[in-house]
Amino acid sequence: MKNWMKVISVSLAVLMLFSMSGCDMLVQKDETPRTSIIEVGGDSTTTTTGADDPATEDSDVPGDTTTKGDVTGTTTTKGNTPGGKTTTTKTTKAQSKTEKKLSGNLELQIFVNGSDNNVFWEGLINDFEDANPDVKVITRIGTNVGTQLATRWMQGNPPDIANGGTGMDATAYMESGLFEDLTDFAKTATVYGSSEKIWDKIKPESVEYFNGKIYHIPNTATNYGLWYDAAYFKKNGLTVPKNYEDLMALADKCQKLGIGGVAYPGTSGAYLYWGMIMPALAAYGKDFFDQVCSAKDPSVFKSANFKAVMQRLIDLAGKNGGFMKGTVAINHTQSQMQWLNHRAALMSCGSWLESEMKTNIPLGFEMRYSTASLVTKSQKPTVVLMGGGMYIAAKGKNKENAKEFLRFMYQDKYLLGIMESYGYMTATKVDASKAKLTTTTKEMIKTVNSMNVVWKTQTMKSTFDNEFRNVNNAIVLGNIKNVDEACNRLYDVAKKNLK
Amino acid sequence: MQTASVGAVQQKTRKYPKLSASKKWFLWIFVIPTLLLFSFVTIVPLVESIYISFFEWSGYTPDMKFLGFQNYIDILGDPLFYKSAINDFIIIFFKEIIVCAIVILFAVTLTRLKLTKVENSIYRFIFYIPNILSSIVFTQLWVYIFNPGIGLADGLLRAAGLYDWIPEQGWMVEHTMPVLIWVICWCTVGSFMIVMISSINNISEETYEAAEIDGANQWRQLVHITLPAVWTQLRYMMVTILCSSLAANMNIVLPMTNGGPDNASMVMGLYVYQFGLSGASEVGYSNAGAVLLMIIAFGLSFLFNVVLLRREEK
Repeated sequence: MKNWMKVISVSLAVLMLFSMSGCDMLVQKDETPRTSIIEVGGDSTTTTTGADDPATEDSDVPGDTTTKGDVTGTTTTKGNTPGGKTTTTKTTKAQSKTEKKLSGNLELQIFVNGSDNNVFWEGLINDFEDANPDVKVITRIGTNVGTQLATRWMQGNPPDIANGGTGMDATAYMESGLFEDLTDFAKTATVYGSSEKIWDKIKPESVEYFNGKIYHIPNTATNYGLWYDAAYFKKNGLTVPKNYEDLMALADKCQKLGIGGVAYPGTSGAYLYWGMIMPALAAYGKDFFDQVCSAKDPSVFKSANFKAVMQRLIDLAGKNGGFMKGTVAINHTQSQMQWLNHRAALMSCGSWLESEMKTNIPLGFEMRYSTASLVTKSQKPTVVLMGGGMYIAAKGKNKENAKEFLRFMYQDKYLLGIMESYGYMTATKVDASKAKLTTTTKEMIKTVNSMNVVWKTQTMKSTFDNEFRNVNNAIVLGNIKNVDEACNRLYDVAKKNLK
Repeated sequence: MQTASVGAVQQKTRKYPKLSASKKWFLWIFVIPTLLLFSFVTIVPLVESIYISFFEWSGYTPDMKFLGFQNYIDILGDPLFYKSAINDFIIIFFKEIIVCAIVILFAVTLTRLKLTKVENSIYRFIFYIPNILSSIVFTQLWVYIFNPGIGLADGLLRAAGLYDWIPEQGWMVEHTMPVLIWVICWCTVGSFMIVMISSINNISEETYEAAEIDGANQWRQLVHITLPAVWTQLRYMMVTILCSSLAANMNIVLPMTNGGPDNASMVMGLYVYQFGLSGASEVGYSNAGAVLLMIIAFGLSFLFNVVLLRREEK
């Protein structure tokens, strides 16, 4: 009795200790910035700590990033990303002579998904503070800031300005009137220190309307899609897919290599359907795409075009090398790890992928963006672009300061800086060639420019998002093989949302 | 019989000594803050939650539309709610068995097997670790252990040559519920183990010595001395697991699977969360789910207590 109890206890203790060793892997791989609540002071030297950037491709971009130190070196960002104090302060102070004097507070809610994003925002805020020394800026910044501050929006005590992101259901906020109507402001306001109108600076097709009103003025353009490692494809003789037929052919080759075709984070809804399904739906035209996004007419989910795209997903999922095994139950960090370890040929993700993974990309990994989605060979490869901008709280205490911050942000320096820090395209007419971008982002922009571009200008309800995720996962798992079953489930939830 | 018990209660009541006015004031000073705090953080939200459950409300605006019992009717007509409830019951059932067994095993090992002080301290520390970590930390830890292909679990099986045991679609797809149950049990053991150790230490050593003289082996000592002596603590443990699990299962399920894949691991707490706070903005509906969850938890713990009390009376 004594012995076997000791043996079991020792075994369980060893098991527990083994499990603790998993922490090490977590610390090494998960470099997602922790959510922090910071009050930005007067010091404009912005630094961030993280692993040394192994992507050699960045080094050919002059003045972009200099890194020092070993595994946890300090990265000092220069160039268009704000934070270079001397230059910026001179410029902003000179300009501020023509601007009205601001005072009081400004509370920002900033969603970030990569360490460079913090650098950009902290630099921008420092510059704004330099230009407006009587304004005290309070910054709430992090990956979960949307969820953390949701209750404040509910209570009617929101931050003054927010950039959306995870945890902030922009559709629900707009429906509830929590955002300031920026329609007039967007058309009349000028860029800080200039007479140029913001409206003239943005691409009109990128503006998202909700019940005919503008709630955020776009400055960035994000896009989802399928990413691959060009070096791995070359080494293994794989052809970069351009459409659904190519994906089917790639699946066979992936099976032979013992890897999966596509990896995506199954625990989150957006990655698969924005990366593969929505572009294929957008290939049928902007009107049809808008109908799907708004879901105001549930019958769109039973239409022939919608069924055709979902049938392609079912067919691809039916192939052994179509999707990576287990992808339906992993989160976004896990899916990225799997892809970096070449357990899948393609990764369905957004244009922030490189900036988010910057510290984890292995040497020799050539991250590239493909034109592939569930679009057929006979259709033009299509990409969906989403305009991103900032929302001002309707019940914010410092709405005027928030609007001035928006004007400040539309200076070329910051429009280029946000492109550089996030790896995004722009929704403005700023000369993007001046942005110091990585090779991956440059190649992505080149690829996107060769595609049929459809802007997302309709919002989607999050209850629909959940069901879309579940249906797609069920298809990838092989639990749904009948296209009507998939479409009926989406039709039902769209109908329920209309109530 | 009934009269006798009523009499006993009256007799008990009479036993309390009469308190002087100053002592009463002294007691009220201690009771009032706690009562107020309890009312504000428990009773008021509870009543508010019941009130909100009768409305259609996004949570973002003051506009509320009275629906009567419609939210309850909708939830009871949703198959996902039943699936969530069944998953909760499955988790609780296995949690009760596994946690009780492991806690007793550990507690007996650490108290009765004459371990050295160092051994004892090391074991206690190891088993208590999950209680020190936040649930997000240890769930992420297990997520990476069960990471398909490159996780520790797959690596160990590969090292042992057990390739056939590695699930093709990954642990979180093919063994979703067992994995969740294991993680939930793993993080529960430590705190109960401390309670159980102190209970076993209170048992007189002479009882065990007498049993040993009578020829009782360790197993018989466990069954006939230890378990009956710690029965009250065991009951407390079982009721606590039952009461806390219905709401707490979500803490593990949300970061590990988010209820997936395809709602395979959905639990009631997560169901309530997804409709209320996770973007859906159906706060009235979500509160109706929370009220149903509370009724189920209350009913189950009441039933459990009645069954266990009857067993004790016998």
